[in-house]
Amino acid sequence: MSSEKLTKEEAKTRFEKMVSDITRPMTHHYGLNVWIFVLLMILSLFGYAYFIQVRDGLGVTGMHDYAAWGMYIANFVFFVAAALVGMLISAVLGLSGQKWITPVSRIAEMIAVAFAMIAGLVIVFDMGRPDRVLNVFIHGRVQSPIVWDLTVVTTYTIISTLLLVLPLIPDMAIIKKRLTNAPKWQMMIWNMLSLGWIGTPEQYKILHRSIRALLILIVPVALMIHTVTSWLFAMTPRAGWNSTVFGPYFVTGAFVTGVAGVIVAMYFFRQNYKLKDYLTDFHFDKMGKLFVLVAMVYMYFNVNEFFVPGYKMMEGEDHHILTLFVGSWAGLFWFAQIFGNIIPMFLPIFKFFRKPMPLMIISVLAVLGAWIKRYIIVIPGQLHPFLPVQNVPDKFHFYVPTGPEIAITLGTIGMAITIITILAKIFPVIPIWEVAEEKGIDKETINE
Amino acid sequence: MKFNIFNKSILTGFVLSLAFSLSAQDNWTVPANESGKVCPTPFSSTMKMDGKDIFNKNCKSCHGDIGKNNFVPLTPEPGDPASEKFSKNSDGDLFFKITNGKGAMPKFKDQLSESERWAVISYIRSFHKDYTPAEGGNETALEAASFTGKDLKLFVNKDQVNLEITTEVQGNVDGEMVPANGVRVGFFIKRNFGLLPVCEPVTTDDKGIAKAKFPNDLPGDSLGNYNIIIKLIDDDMFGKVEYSETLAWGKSFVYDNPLNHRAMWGNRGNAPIWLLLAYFGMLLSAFVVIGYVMLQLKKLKSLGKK
Ligand code: HEC
Repeated sequence: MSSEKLTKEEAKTRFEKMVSDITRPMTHHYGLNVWIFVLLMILSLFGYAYFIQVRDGLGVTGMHDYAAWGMYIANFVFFVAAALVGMLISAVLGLSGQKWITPVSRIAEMIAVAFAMIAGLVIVFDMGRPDRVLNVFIHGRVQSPIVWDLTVVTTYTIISTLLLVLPLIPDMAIIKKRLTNAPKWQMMIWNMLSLGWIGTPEQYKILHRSIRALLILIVPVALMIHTVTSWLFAMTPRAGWNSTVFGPYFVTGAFVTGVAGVIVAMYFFRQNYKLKDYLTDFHFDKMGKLFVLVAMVYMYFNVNEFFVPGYKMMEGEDHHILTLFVGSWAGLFWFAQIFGNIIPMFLPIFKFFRKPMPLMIISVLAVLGAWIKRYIIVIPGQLHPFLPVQNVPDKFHFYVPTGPEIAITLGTIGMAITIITILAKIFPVIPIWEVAEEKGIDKETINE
Repeated sequence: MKFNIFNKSILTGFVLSLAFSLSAQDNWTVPANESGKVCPTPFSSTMKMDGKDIFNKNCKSCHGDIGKNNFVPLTPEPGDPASEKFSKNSDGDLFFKITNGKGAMPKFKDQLSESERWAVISYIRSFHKDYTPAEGGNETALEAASFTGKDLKLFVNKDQVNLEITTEVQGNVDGEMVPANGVRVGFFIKRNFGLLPVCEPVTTDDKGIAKAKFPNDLPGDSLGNYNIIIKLIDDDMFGKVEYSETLAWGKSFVYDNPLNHRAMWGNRGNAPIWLLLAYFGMLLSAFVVIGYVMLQLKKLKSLGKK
């Protein structure tokens, strides 16, 4: 932020301190063993559950003739939503010249990459046997939203990965020169990803140009990824899904989820990685305001989504709306609405709630609310058939996820967190060169 | 819950069996004024043949083939319409019973018109040897029984200009082929899922002739061909006697399968062009940018080597 002229010496000491602050957690692993152990437990539970599912088929899940989409798909929508934040932070705010996002942007990209990657996997788990994926390529039709979804999730994952890797290039060069004690494989990765960076003006030009191109590209692709995900539902004439605002409703919902997710991650890294000087109260304050903004926009779409059909109460819709608002789904519904939208919209208006700790708590609840919200979007509508049907087994009117299903879902969340953990261990979570530039340190010092 | 269902079924079973035993004991009495009713018109052979169709559609499922005693074993049993159980009824009795039904015997009051009910009766009556038409003059159906010869043959004559077919039916009576009178001939066109009757069945006159005119606007295949089938309707009496031929009397018709067009619901080869353009266009633009970035990175790397 401050760009007063520094002497060469000052710049150098400041920069070296910064590098060691940011890279210390990469070499000092406080509590990492416990964390890895927890993650491994989750992953092995997943492995066992997935083995059962592949061996015995999708019958081990709670899905049935009516609720043919269950927790997996709800979880998938949540993952896509969480992945969207990369685009919001880096592209929308970055391109519009918001400087404060610089130290947050890499965390956002890591979240985006991890969740986008696993989102694709979630779909594979939902298909039962993994080789079923081939059918999408063998029989997939361009007319099917499922094919669009597969395409756009893959494309988004590639672009997000590039957007994570490109801004890493100068950092890799910085690190490989300083952390010379690191294991060989780590040095190899850094060396490879530094792409021979020496910081010539030409290299800077190319890097900025490439990042810019990707930032522009990711805006439509990100909008598409979540719009298409919403179309998986909205292209069906089913009460609760048959909605024209589903695209923007999902996209704005994803912004809320993403901002909440980034705040939680920021808080975690700030505490565990001792990055108070880089992820400051100021950044939380900004994120809190952003939170209010995205929650307000989301509320606008919620009103549209429920008030318009609620005013007409058309047959089918009426039943759906009543079960959500006052019926058997009311508990989950109001939890999602209150913690996932109303509270983030109001509380962070007050300065106190934009402090790191309160904001983090609001965000954790908002993430939980966001997950439940996806569950409520996917499942209730399916439990009521289009036509009056007789002699339907009672259990078709309910959907209860089974143990293996829950374990696999937990496993996918575990996988995403594992990816973030690994990324945050081998790469700096704060973009060193960009933050240094903003602190007025000259390019020469950075690339020395 | 379980207990409840169990209870209910016992109760229902009890009530049902009670109802059945009651109705079984109850004799099927027909009011005197109904019993004396007779058909307003004499039974004719056409009527009898209509009756046969009606019987096959509505009654056969329970009463079986008449005279074969293969009715469905219900209690009380439906009975074979050729049996005494039926024949001892007056025409009015039969009419009343068919009209009102009882127990498992459905009531046909709303399903069949009065004349249809009489038609069935005339058909049933043709199996009752001792049946004499009621006072007031029902012609016995037996008398109207059609041609009794064997080995019937069809001789078909086509009038290509007027699309008319004249069929002569002959049968063997005492070793001699003679024109078969009163035999029903059906004229059909073969369609994908069955035979399309061109007209009502035609009964042969005393020269054994039945004629049918074909409409000139029936769709055929792409060349206007269709397959005609001429056959005797009462194949249970005469055996299967059939004539078929492919004629170019129809209108040319080329079936236009909507699945062969590009549409949202089409198969993968038939995606709408605009959709293909949009899909691949977007995909291509995204990967052009990604490719561009890759090239830039390559350049960046080579700059570092200098
Ligand atoms: C669902 C089965 C069923 C069908 C279809 C059915 N019947 Fe019956 N029918 C019965 C049964 C069973 C009885 C015996 C009823 C009784 O005695 O209580 C019966 C009795 C009769 C009787 C009375 C016989 C007597 O005891 O005097 C007549 C007449 C009769 N059916 C005619 C017909 C005709 C004509 C049709 C078709 C239009 C027909 N039924 C269709 C089951 C059926």
